[in-house]
This record gives sequence, C-alpha cells and structure tokens, in this order.
Amino acid sequence: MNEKEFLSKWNEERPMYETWGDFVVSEINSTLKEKGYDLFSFLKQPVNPRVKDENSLIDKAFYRDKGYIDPYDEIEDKVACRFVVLLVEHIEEVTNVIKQKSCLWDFIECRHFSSERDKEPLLFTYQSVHYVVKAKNNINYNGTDISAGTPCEIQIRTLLQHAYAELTHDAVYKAKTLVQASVHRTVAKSMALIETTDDFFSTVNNSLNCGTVESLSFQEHLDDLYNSKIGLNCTQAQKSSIVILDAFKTLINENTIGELTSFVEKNEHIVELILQGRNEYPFYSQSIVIFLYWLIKRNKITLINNWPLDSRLIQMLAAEIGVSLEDFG
Amino acid sequence: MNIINLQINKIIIHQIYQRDPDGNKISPKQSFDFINFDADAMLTFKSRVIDALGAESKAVEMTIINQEQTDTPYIVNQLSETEISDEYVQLSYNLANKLADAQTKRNIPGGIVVVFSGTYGATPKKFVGIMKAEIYSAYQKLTNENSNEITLEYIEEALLTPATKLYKTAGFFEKGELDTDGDLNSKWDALVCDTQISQTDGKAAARYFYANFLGFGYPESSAKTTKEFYDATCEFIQELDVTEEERYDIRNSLNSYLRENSDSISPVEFAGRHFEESIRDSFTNFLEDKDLPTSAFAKDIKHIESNLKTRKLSFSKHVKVSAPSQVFQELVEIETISEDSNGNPVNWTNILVKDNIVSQE
Repeated sequence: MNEKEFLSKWNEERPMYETWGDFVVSEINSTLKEKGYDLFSFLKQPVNPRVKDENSLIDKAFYRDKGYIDPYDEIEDKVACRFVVLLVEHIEEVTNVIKQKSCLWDFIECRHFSSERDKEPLLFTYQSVHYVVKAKNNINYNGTDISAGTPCEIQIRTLLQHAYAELTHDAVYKAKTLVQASVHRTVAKSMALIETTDDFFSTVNNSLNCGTVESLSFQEHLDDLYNSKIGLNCTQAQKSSIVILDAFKTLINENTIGELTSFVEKNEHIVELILQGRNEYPFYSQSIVIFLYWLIKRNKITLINNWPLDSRLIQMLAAEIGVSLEDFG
Repeated sequence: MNIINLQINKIIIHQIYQRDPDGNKISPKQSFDFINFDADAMLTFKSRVIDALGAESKAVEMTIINQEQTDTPYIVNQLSETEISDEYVQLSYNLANKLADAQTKRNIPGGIVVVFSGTYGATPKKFVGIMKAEIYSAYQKLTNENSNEITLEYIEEALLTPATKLYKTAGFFEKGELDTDGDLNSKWDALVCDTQISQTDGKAAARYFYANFLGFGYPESSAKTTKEFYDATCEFIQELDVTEEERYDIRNSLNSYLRENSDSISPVEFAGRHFEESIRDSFTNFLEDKDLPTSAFAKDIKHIESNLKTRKLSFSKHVKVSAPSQVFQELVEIETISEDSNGNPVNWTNILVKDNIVSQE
C-alpha cells in the first residue's frame, strides 16, 4: 500500500474511526456513571476521542522506520482517547471497566507502568497505561457502520503523569534543538518525584477512607434505606450529616444498617414523620434523620452526651417520637 | 409511655395562689382565652411534656381511684369531649380550682395551671394534660447591639425553664379500647410526673398532687412489674462483661436501689446511677426488647422480698455464702484471684468477712 492508497482508505474510513472512538468513550463513561462516579470530578479533563491528523499518520506509517509490513492495520492509535484521573487506584477503576465490556470489544494491554517499572527498575520516564480495544462484531452506532476489528487506543494516567507527558511531549520531544543531558536528567528527576507524590496522594486518600463509616459505605446504604422506605429520594448529605456521623462513628458497625432497617419497619410512623417534616424543614430530606431517630430511641445517653449540633434539633425529633430527653446520670 | 405524634391543639392557663396566712384558699384567677403558641414556643412546650411523660421519663403510670362527678378524672373525661368553647374554659378552671382545694398546706406554692389537650398516636387518640408550673424569678441575657456588652434583665415571673424543673405534670391518654364497664381506667392511661419530688420523699409525686388533686393511686400490677424488672436486671448484670467484683457491686446496688424508701422505680435513673455511660443505653434497650417499661413505674417488692432480704454467692463446688443484704454489703468484701502463688492461672475468689466466727457445724 503506497501513500496515496493509504490516504484514500483513511479518508474513506475516518468517519468510522471517529464513531468507534465516540462509542468507546460513551460506553466507558456510562459504565463509570452506573458505578456511582461523578464523572465531572472523577475525570480530570473531559474525554474527547481524537483521530490522528493526516500528516502525522503518514509520517508514522512511512517515515519513522517503524518496520511495519501493513502500516494501515498495524497502526492502532488512528483513533485514541485519554482518561486522566487523580489517583493511581482510579486508573484501575477505568481498566476494570474496559475489561468488563469484553462483550463489545477485544482488549489488549499495550503498556502498563507497573510492569515497565519491574522491567526497568532504574529508569524514570513516561508512565501511562495504554489499552487497544477492537470492535468484536460489526455494529452500527449513530447511523455509521463499524467493522469488527476496528481499533481504538485508550490511555489512562494520573493527573501528575499527565503533566509529565504534556511537558515531555511538547517541550522535549518536539524541541527544535538538541536537548542537553542535564535537561533529560531533570525530566527523569521530575518523574521520580511524580511517582513519589502519587504514592503519597494514595496514602492520604487511603487514610481518609479507612474509617468504619467510609469502609462500610454507611452513608450510601443509609441513602438507599431512606429512598426505599420513604419513597422519595433523599438529598445529598450535607456537612451536618458528616459531623453527626463523625460524632457517633463508634456506634456504627456492619450490623447498623440492618438494625436501622428493622427499626424503621418496627416504627412505621417514622415514615409519616419524615414525610411531614420534609414540608417544613430541608433537614428531613437528608437520610441522616433516620439515624437520628434511631439514636434517640436506642442510644439516648450517648446521643445527649456527644451531640455536636444545636440541641433544638434533637429536642424536636425526640418530641415527635415521644422520647423523654431527661438524663438522670 | 410511648407518645408518638403528639398534637396539642388546645392550651389554656389559670393562676393559682398559695394559701393566705390563715390557711384559707384564695380563688384561682381565671383566663378566658386560649393560648396560641408560635412554632418555636409550641416545640418547647411539647418537649417539656414529652420529657415529663414520654418514653424513658420519670412519669409513673397510676390507677384512677376517684371517679365521682366532682373528681378530677371525671372532669378530665368531660373535657376530652369538649371543643374550644366557654364550657372548655369553665371545665379547665374547675381543674385549677380542684388543685387549689388540694393544696391544703400553707407552704405549697402557687403557680400556673396549664390545661392542654389534643391527640397522640399513629391513629390519633385523645389526651388531656395538666401541668402545674411554679413561678420564680430569673434573668434574661441581653446583648447591646452597638457595644456588644452583655447585661442581665431581671424577670420577676418566669416558668417552665428546663433546668429548674419546677413543674408537675399529669397526663390522661386514651387507650383506644371500648369503654364498656364505665371504669375510667378502661378508657385512660393515667400518668403523673413530678420533677420536684426528691428520691428521699419516696413518692411518685407530691401526695397532694397525685392523690388529693388527681385522685390517683398506685396500680395493683406494680408487684408483678417490679419482679419482672428485678429479674431482667439481674439477667442483664449477669451477662455484663465486667469483673466479678464489679458484678458483685452492681448487684448490691440493685438490691439497695429496690430497698430505698421510694414508691417508684425509674430504670433510667437506676442505670444513670450505677452503670457506666457506655452501657446505660444497652440496659434500656434490653428492657425494651423484653417489653418491660423503660419509664418509671410504681414499686411493690411483695414478690421479691426474700431476694432482697438475703444476698447469696454460690460456687461450683457447693460452697455458699449468704447473709442479709444490708450486712452482706457492709461486712463482706470479695476479690477475684487470677493467679496462684506460683503464677499459674486460676479462677479463685477471696472473701473477706469483717466479723468473727460464732459457731461451726
């Protein structure tokens, strides 16, 4: 295949590649969303699939001595997309989604920084995770036919790895003059620092998420309980909820959600109270209100002695369910 | 008592007075208008009522003894059938008058009589409440907006602040069963709470209030409830994760608590005095799960007298130590020994009797 043939095929198939890229990104994004990630905060930049520019494609196929036999088929990043996340652990969340969708595509892991670290432990250089996914069947998406086997490259990296890639790609590799050894050394030092910092970021994140409340996903389960029992969706937990959960975290264990569930079932009128309360006070729209009724009924003394907010709130809730807050201790 | 969904829709107050120096009754001052609390004031008032009569409160369930037409329970029953009207005002004033009659001793202070009624429960049932609140003087904090300086304003007449606890409350809660026998006890649960009564007085409430004014007496089921409470509490103490010495002490305190010169038992008060904060809630939950009262109830130790009289410790090999409770508590000390003199782990008990042996068999 000569350059002319290459280009005419590319111009013909380009819309198909664009559509395949759109399809891959939309599948991954919607699966992440289903898993409960807020894409706006989880992805550090919007993911826009990009097809390769004609000139750079020709350059890669014919002039860079890549040793291709069939460059058109062998170049697998004709369309590519990039997922930038905050933490190293988040990379795995994305790769899991890629693997999970194997009914739609075949996937190959082309590079992964952790295997590269094992192979070259003394080297600090570009780090990223690259996958290529190829359509498993002929499909039609948004009115465009996509042939089985059409590839799309997916890059996944942390924000810091991305910063490194941006710097080296633009400033170092595209430099018009010969780059001095000292610059290479500085770039390598940056990557060593980035790898260290990424580790620290993970440590910080893990320590913040290791409490019982977080590890049991207590808030999420409480929200589910509220939505299913009250029949209306709760609003997002506000700072007051977090303060309350923090004050009574020692009372929370793996059985608590079960206890709360049977508590609501045993005390049906709580549903009524919450529905009435919602009309007047936004607080009743937060799922923490169930936890508070339970505290008043089952952990009154601990509640009174550790209540972190204005006491009028528990006075009101206690009066509603008829519990005396007199403490005889 | 379990009072969910309390809705107060009528409130009226009258003022009663201390007797004059010669011991003559001064007629109460009647008001003719119902009170409209704003949302905040209503919430506070509701909290006072629930704190006094709700679950885990010190309110004691009583039996209605006086049921004649001129007696308080009868008037309350009439009141419960009456809408906002002059008749309601008059009936509530009759109640204030009854209270003034009952306050025969000259040293009993006057105050405000609050008569209030409404509904409670998931399927609304009627209730009537009567509160006597003493009037006292207090200070109100004021902050000067410009200088931020704090000053105190003297208030000659204040009432119902939570900390002073100068009020007595009675509640009549409809049972929701059909009143077939004409006995008001079949129709109403009667509760009384007196935050002013001290433990040493021994009564559920001041006698002039619960007996002379309200016409209440202690229920006959008290002996059964007292025994159930005693058995359950023993079981709870037995299961506590504490050392044997601590268990011994708590058992002694249970016996002394029940022997105290008091007409009522408050599980929450007992827990507050003798349990660590961390297990107080589990104690009330334990009672609640056994369907036993967590609010106060009238005491009658008839069925547990022998248990209270003698304290007994039994060991696995038939060693037994027993003594009258009071003596046991004063003269017997126990200590757990977990290691013998060679350092081997053992499960022994050291008993010290502060007395000499007078006979042996």
